[in-house]
Amino acid sequence: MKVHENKNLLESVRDFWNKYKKNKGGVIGLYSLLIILLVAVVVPFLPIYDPNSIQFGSFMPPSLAHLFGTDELGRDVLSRVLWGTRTSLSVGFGAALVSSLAGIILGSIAGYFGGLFDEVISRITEIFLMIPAFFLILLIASIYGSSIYYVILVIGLTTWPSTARIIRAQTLSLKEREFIYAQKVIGSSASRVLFIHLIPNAIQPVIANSILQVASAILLEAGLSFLGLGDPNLISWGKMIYNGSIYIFSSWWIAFFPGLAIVITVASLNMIGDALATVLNPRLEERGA
Amino acid sequence: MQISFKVIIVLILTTSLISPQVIGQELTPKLGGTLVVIQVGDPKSFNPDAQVDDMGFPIFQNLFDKLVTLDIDYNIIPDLAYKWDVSSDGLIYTFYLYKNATWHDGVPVTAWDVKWTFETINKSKGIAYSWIKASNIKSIDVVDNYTVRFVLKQPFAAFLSFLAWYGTFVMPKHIYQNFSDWMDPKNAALQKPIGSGPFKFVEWVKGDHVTLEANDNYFKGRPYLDKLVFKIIPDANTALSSFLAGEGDVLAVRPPFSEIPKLNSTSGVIVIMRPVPSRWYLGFNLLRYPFNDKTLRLAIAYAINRTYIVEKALYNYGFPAEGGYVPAIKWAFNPNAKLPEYNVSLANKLLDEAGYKLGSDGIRVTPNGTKLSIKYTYFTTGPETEAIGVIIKEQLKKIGIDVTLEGLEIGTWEQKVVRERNFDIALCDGFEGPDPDNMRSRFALGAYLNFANYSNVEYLKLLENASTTTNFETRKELYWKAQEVFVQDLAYLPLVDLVAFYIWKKEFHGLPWESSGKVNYNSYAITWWEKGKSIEPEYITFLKSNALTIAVVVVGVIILGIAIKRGLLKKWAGKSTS
Amino acid sequence: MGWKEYLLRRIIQLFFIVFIVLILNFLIINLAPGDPASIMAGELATKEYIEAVRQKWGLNKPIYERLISYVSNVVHGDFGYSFTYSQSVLSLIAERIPITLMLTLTSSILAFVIGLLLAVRSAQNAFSKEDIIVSNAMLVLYSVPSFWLGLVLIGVFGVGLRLLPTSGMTDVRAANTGLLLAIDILIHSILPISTLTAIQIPVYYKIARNSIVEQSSEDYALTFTMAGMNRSDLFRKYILRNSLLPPVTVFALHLGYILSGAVLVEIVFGWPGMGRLLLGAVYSRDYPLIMGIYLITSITVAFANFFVDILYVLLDPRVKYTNESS
Repeated sequence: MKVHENKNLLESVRDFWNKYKKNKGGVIGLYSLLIILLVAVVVPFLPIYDPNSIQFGSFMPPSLAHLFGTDELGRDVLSRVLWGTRTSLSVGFGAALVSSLAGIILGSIAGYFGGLFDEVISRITEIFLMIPAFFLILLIASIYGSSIYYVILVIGLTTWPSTARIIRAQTLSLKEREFIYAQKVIGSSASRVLFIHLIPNAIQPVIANSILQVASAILLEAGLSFLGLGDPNLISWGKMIYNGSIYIFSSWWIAFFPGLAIVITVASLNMIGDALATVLNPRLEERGA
Repeated sequence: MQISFKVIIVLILTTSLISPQVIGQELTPKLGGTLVVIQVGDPKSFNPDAQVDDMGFPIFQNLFDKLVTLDIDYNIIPDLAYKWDVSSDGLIYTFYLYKNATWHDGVPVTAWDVKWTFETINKSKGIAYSWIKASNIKSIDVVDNYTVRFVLKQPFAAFLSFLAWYGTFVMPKHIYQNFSDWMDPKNAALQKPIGSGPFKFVEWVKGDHVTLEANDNYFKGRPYLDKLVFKIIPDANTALSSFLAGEGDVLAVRPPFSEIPKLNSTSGVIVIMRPVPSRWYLGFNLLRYPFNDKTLRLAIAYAINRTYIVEKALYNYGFPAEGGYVPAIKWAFNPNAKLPEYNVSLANKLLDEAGYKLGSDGIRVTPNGTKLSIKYTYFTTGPETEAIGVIIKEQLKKIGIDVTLEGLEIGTWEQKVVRERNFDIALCDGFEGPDPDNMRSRFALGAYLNFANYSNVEYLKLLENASTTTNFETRKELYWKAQEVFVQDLAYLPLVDLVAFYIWKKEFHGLPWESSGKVNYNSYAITWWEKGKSIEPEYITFLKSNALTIAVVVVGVIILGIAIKRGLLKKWAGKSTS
Repeated sequence: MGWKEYLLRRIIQLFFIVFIVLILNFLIINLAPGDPASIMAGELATKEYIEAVRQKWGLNKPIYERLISYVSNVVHGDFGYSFTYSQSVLSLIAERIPITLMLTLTSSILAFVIGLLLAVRSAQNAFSKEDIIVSNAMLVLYSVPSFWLGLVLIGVFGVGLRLLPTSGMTDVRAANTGLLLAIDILIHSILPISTLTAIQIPVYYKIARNSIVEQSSEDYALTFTMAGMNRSDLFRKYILRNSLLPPVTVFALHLGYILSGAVLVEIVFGWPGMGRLLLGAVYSRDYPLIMGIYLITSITVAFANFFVDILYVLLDPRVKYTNESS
């Protein structure tokens, strides 16, 4: 969908929301994500146990006192699941941000300037696609360290190619259009054209893609933590599953509930992303809408 | 004297009921069966001496022999050598080998194999190179085909213990001598080994299992088992479920602690627990302020409740550490060198008096002005290391120290802590046997593993002297003194003394951990299966188990015969014949 | 520029890329912290001994020297020898590949077929209640972490239902051979393959469904409908064929990840495949083995990409082969 320069911003937003509302999955996903975000923000004020306190008995099954039971060190699982929203959302959005930034910058440069820039950047993109992301993240996380910042950086730097490709394709088609040409005629500098005119218009397909990237970043971090490479100072769902996997036969709740939390969070994001993609792609719309 | 005949008959009948069928039958080994041992990983290759190979070690113990070996109590017992002498100056070790030992391909095992093995360990830097001090061996002489002599440059009291331990398997010279490199991949023996041990190699399916079979010509007698299989399962959880599903007979992977009670109460399974000479310990970086301050280290020692760590992180399967060496090596352990007892208020008092002021955020500040925020570096090999960290973090919070956890993968941990010495406090574990000389390679000045940079010269001298003394009592005294110094300085703080679990199916007997004094702690040479075939011919077993009944019947027949001869029966039967 | 020149150009590009990846791999791995020599030397080793080990493996030579010799070896087909196993890297990897393939190839094919079938059904009643429910269910399935699903299945089948083996590839005690062995492996593979398939179905479903819906709104579809062609004919003869390209493309791309995609599942179910080999190699800093695995996987991805390019040449005549490829 191309933004027409002359449509009112408010009208565009309202149009968009009307279309979006029709996608039931998208609506459920949105509300669900909002609840999760809310939890992440207010969790310190919730009337739950200290997630790090090891004072309770270990391996207590779910009960009225501990709705999700306690883990192998005696910590309350419900509390840890709720606190885990912060880690997962930070990693997810953080990595997606890094990825999108890298992708947007590289993709737009490749598309706009073309020539050697394009050639080089496209090859670099392919190189990154060639290295299986999970393997690379595993290698780097295991030997360079498992601090959460590393994890965000590494996930971001291995997932930018998809964003870059989209931006590049968008840039290529947009740069021939009149309003860009007009800017060139006026004599605007390349960076001005890029940042003020091109990118804001090219960005739309990226939004849906970025939401999906948040989802996959959360899954990647969980996978990493499951291999034991997560940051031990944070409460992470993937790590909880890792710690609890040994006890799956007897104290199944330790690994089960964090996994459920991942499914709900990631599914919400995926539904939103899917709704966005559908809304922004006219060919997938129901005819007569 | 004529005993009433009735009484005799009654006696015969009653005694025949006490058949010894219940007694003693179970204790005779049976032939046959397959023992499946579940373990955590593949061996790396079948060269038993070239590299550290924890997964291969138990397999090597059954394929190969050493000169001498260690039993479950870490006593030195004969293996290929039935006898050995040590000269009074401690420089000459003479080993007398069994004359009927052969390699699995039939070639006899001789002193030449021993000589070749140890010379190659020296030349190719086999793993035992460091701890048997291969560079200290002046020469290895073949006195005759079955007698070999090691001449040392300097006395080394622990030489025999280390010879019995690891990486000292005698290897077949006639196979390896054709290759210049004993790890040459073209050598088939690296994948299909030829050893001299109780079991022969059959096959290795990588990632799945290693199968061995009985060596009929084993010089100590064919093992009872027909086959020995090592099944490879990567993690404790799946290993446990595999064992419970009947896919294994010995579980050589420690299952999660929480499952031990369940195993204990599973019918047909036996679980025993024994202390091992291994412990978890903390090291302080003595080259870094404020860890060079002994008062701080002492306060931290008072603040850590080792009993609580055993309860919470090990679910009570272990012991709070005692002393400066492992209690499991009994003769060397000094029970009087005690570690600080848990006392939080004393810890706080010490820190207050030493000028570590408590800040408004609950974290103390050193006299130099830096906040006491420290990093605890551990390796992520299992859940205990992190659990211990979480507990220590909570406990140190109570004395105003803020702890951040840094979990590193083992290679990175080694790089950061041991090589670069870039850490605050680090958790390490270690096997401290088989000989207290281990302390010298782990904690003393100059040792590669001495990551705390412990530089007490007195400690080093005590250990060095103990290493070269030939008198046992003197050695013991020196080691006891060294432990006193160790617990005074607290460069390292031992936390937990570990136990090992032995889990097996009760239908197997003669396991190495039940056979102190007889076999190596990993060897299944005398293990047997209840449901195997009897070794003796069947009629002998029949006779043995019914011996008393048979004896009674025979005696009864004889008495009956005499009675008939004497016409007593008629008298008894027909009372009226008068 | 025609398609022949295009493909040639692509081959050259891919060779070049794999070469760069080779060098990058080497640098990342060899410059990483952790010393393979001291790991190999074990505890209680003296510094002198560690140095000896380092020398033996040529680790004391400067990095550029090692890089050059590594690259020239690889070009000659020699991937080096593993530090930990006494075997050539290539043979180690070759041993594991079939095991991983058994899981990934089977699950990919199954997922493709099932996903496609479900998509066809959904797309034919696009935007109906059924379609919406199935599509969203697929989204949820797509959000499930593979290892968690594996664990849940293990929990259910290992404890609850006790029907299927939950770990390993074979039952060692039985020591089966031949047909019995094949059956044994098959039974052990049910749970891991199910896990992997379940995770992948949503991908194919979504691509196929969207592709079919898109095709249905194309001009030619409208034209044919107005000309009187009935729906199922239209579907069978034109729409289905035309909408196959995207899912097949995705399948081909996924083939690139055929060796690396099952790491987590292999670990959960204890299958001795590439994933476990890699993890172990990383922990013991077995440089040649790590590099070998990365190289093979990169080459596989390169091939898969190239395969997709060929596919496009063959199947989509509308694409022009100018400088703006992909």
